[in-house]
Amino acid sequence: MIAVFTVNAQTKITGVVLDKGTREPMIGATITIAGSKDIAAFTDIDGHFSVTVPNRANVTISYIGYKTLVEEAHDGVYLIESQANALNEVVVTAQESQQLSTSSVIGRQAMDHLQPSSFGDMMELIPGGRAQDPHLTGPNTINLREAGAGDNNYATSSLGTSFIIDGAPISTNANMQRVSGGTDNESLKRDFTNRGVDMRSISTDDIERVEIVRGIPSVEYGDLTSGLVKIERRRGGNNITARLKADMGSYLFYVGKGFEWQPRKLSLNINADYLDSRIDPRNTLENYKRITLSARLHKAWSGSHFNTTLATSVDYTGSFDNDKTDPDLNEGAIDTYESSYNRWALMTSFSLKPNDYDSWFKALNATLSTSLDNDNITREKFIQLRRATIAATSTEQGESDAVILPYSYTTKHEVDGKPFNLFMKVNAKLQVPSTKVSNSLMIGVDWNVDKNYGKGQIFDPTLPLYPGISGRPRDISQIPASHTLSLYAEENLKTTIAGNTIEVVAGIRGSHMMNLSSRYALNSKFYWDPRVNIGWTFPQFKVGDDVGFVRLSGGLGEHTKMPTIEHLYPEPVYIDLVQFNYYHPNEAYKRIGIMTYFIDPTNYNLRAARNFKWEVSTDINIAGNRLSVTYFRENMTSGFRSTAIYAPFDYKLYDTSVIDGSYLTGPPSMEGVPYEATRELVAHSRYSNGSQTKKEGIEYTFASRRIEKIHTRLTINGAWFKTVHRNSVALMERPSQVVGDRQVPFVGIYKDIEGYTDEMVNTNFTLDTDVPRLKLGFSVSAQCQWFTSNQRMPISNYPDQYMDIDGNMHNWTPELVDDVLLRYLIRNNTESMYDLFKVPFSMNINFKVTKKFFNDHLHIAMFCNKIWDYTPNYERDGVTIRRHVTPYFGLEMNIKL
Amino acid sequence: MTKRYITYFLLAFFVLASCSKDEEVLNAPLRIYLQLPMNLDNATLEQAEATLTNIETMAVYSINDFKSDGNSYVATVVVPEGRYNVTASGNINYSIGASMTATTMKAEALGVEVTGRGPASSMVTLLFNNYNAEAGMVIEEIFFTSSVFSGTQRPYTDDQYLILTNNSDHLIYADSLAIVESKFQSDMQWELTPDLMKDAITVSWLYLIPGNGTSVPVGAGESIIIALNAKNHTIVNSNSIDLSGAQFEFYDVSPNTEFFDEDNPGATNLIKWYSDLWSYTMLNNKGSKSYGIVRMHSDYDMFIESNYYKYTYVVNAAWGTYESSGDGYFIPNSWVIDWVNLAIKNEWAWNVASPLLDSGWTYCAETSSDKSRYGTSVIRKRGSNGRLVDTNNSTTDFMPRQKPSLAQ
Repeated sequence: MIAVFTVNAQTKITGVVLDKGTREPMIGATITIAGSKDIAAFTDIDGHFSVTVPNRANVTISYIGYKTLVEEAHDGVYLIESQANALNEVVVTAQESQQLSTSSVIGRQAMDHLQPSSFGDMMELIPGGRAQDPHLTGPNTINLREAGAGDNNYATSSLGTSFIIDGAPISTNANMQRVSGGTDNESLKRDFTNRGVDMRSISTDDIERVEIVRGIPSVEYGDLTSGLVKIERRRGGNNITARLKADMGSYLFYVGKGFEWQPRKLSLNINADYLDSRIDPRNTLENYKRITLSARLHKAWSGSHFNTTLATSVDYTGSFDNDKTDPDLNEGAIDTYESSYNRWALMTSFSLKPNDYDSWFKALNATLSTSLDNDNITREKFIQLRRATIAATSTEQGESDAVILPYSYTTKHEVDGKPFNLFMKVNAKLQVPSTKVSNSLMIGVDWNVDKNYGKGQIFDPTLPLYPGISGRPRDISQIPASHTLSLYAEENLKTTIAGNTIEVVAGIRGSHMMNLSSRYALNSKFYWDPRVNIGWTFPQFKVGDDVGFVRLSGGLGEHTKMPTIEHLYPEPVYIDLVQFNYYHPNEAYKRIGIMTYFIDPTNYNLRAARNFKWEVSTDINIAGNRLSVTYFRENMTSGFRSTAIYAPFDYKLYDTSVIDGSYLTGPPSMEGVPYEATRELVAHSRYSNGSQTKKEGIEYTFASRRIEKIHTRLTINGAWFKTVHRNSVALMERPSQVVGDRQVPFVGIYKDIEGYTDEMVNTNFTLDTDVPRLKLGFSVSAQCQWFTSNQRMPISNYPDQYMDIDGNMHNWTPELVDDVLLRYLIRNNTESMYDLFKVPFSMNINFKVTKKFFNDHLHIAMFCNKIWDYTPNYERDGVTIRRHVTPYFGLEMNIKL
Repeated sequence: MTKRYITYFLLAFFVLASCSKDEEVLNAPLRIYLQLPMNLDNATLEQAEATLTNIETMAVYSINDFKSDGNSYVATVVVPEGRYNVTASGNINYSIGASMTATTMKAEALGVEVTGRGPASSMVTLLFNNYNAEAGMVIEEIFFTSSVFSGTQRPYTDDQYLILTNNSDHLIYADSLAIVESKFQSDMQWELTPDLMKDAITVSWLYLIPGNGTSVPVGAGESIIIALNAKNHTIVNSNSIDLSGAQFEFYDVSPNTEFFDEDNPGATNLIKWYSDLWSYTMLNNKGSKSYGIVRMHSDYDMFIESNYYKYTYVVNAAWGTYESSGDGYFIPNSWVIDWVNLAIKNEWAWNVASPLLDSGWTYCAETSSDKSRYGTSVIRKRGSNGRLVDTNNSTTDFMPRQKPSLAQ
């Protein structure tokens, strides 16, 4: 009786489907029950499913790209195996993710093989990348899908690439660490304000996995235009790991320890890292140092109704630039630049998942992260003036006297920044149980606060670092915090129709800046970013004993990057005009009178930068060999730009020649000195949405299956990128010529100021061999740059309009070419400036090897980039251009106990 | 016409006078050809006059009825046989680019033999060369390198100066002389289109000595000092020079604090007509630019209107060849009174003026990074007669790398 009952009984089972290799949950795997062709269930966003099956019936679990699994139904874990990567497969290259949006996934093994010093080295692995010698003495910013990165006016591309570490963004919106007025190389080359994250400061050693989303990211992620870098750090384990690396410019030391108490589902990871880099091994004066410390705690609880996890981490990053001039080579004079970033970050994330897999409610995630920097730039310099120089010091609009600077002085200019960021994010995932469509809906909200508590520019205006430049100290802690609130919803659908799998990820994100005065256009603006990715996978087909499948996918979306604090609250401008210039041989009788104008350069009409992307991809998998090709286009016409704004300013030009110096007993009075009321056209800079970056290209990755006999795998990746950088608003320029004794009193307004088209094609062929028996892995990579080219876009030599000395605008007319002053508004560009400048083929061969010893406890690795190269000379206009390549070596030792 | 009567009178006088002598002195014709410079376009000669001075008797004859004959102008004069020094002058009109310009030129031939006994009559060809009425004014010294601070050896740029000297034996008025800097650099050779170099210099700045024509008399052998900043620089930098005695200074009026310039009331400010740069003016302290003095034959408005020069040039850079364009102001060579080509010794590529103005160059810097150039000057040599040497060849006329004459 009981037996009969059991045989006929329908049992409800709940299981979870995981990737056999990575143990990641498989979302949307189809479950069918033996004896039925209908889909019984899809796995949910955690890989869970529950079905009712006859006792001892088999369930079939299938997922595109994975071997179909048939197992007797049971509660618990089902492991399915990828067709592409055999178990324990070593992957030393970046892989295209299986997600719909194009992204590169870099795993721990790839990082071990690459032997990076900082995150920037990882860029070699993504399509279009090429091994570069590390340049650690200046900031490293990211340029995804870009040929020929433009100058600072085109930095929105890197500013708009968001870095997320364990779910918490690294905000750079309050980074104002620039030496104001700086004209010297020491300060300029280390300024990365409004340029996003400095990748040098990210240590790679505690990273488990990186995903670089080049395509259209989920609406869960915002405040970005160009891309997303998601970093997941190591969790758990009980090892001590240590790494010692040295290469031609730096050495690095890392030590980490994991603690894991499995029964208590508790883990703690702590690690520290130190990097010391010099511009040249013999140069002790210009260097970069980094210290990172991290402690991460993870705890999970299994309750009767809910499973919850709590992760919390504390991180410190110290990033230090030093640049000194050898006093022995500088006549004993001091000349130093020191910059320090000290960032403390605290992150807590919480997730809650119901045990009841039939529930519509699937998960609740909340993240709270906060960071506070203590950043300082100190520039000390001995100044010796080459000629008489004055400084304006008045901080109020009106007339005052300038200070005549001493001919030599030592001065100190400090920039104090304390950027603070608070980020909160809550989202929920919901799923409607269905056997027709695997679906999940994510709705969420995030709130980002940036504020800088620093003292800003600190210097003595009577002893300026940049003599002659009108600057004043500025306390940036007075600037209000900037708040951005975002809401998003995203639906993820997947269904199978006659063996075809159709996936749709469609979402919308709305973001709004708060705490802005009503004068800002942004105050009332809500930005909506719709983003859609669609994939169609055709039915699997047989190739001999293996299977193959093809997926076509495409996506389009809008991306929004809000302006930074510096964009919204730029430094006030002081326009100082010399009106009374009286010289007397007696220092005490000199007098320089100045008219100061105080200008608020804020552009209240500044908008967010927006990038529209679309792309189509194909992903072909045959017998474990995979080819992914993506064609994309991106257009951002509202990139942030610093633009010059001219306006007339009145001043009095005193005729001091009437003063009889012989009767003076002090500086002369201005009373009674005749003057000419005159005016001058003076520029100040203002942020605008005036830069266009248009990207187009093809990215491709081919990864073969490892050929067992020779333990070798071939990866071919590369890209064609074509990028246009140009101004998207009319800009002003004033001729520098002085005709008579005054500068040409007109300003030209030009629709086109600049435009560049850069193009490049590259392919990297990587053969990696892994011989498990010898514990040896090595790779040879032939990195071919087929060409790079640069071409200026033709621009008209004539202005479209011009401004006269009174600030009035006039249209340009052809007959003005003969006007003795207005002809200076005509630019001198010639046809040959628009010639294509093309650098032909070159190839570098890079070699990397890793070997494990003592039961894998010791791991020695070495790399030699450019060990051999083919970089032929080439001709341009009859001139032979010689190219030189020097190899770059590094060696490292890893200990794992 | 008066001169012609004088000529006839003198001729008659000498003919009569010669009769009294024992030996018979015959008169003979001399055909004088005045040849215009081959490099001038559409050149015509007006008011030409030749003067013949008999070397033995010092008798002077002149003739002015020159007639055009192909590229030359010709006239025949009958004078007593003998040896003559022949000088000629005239006004030449010619075109530079699209505009016409006028200049006075002179030519000279020494020891021309006039004899009626040969198979053919005597003739002489005088080649006109650039001629400046005030040829006596020359640049004696250019202190362009500026100095360094004592101790730190860092550059101090405010003490540059030029000395102009009246090298003639008569008074010259320096007002309305202009001081100019070449647009082009001697260390960077360009192929220019249109190329005006044979006829004109191109300037990056031009300053005029103010005056009403007789305000700035410079006696024979006297000098004027033109300072960048006419103050006693030794107060600031003991290594520098006391320029408080300079008569003139460059003063660039600008409301921009970055371009602040001291205006010493003790020195007269030069009048600025043009500069490429909105900043204050300095001489190129490496010596890549050349300097000259010019007698302006045009007023400001006319100059700015007519002497504008827009050109293209080909740059042969390490990474390829490309065409670029630029503009500036040209000044006819004939207006130039004195010109000194400067160069960096090891970087010299070309001279930026016609060889007629200066066929050589002088220097202070051996290389472009030569710090020993600071505090050195180029000074014109003096001949045994005490006069400054002026052969329009700065290589031989100047002493390079000299201690500035005004230094303590």
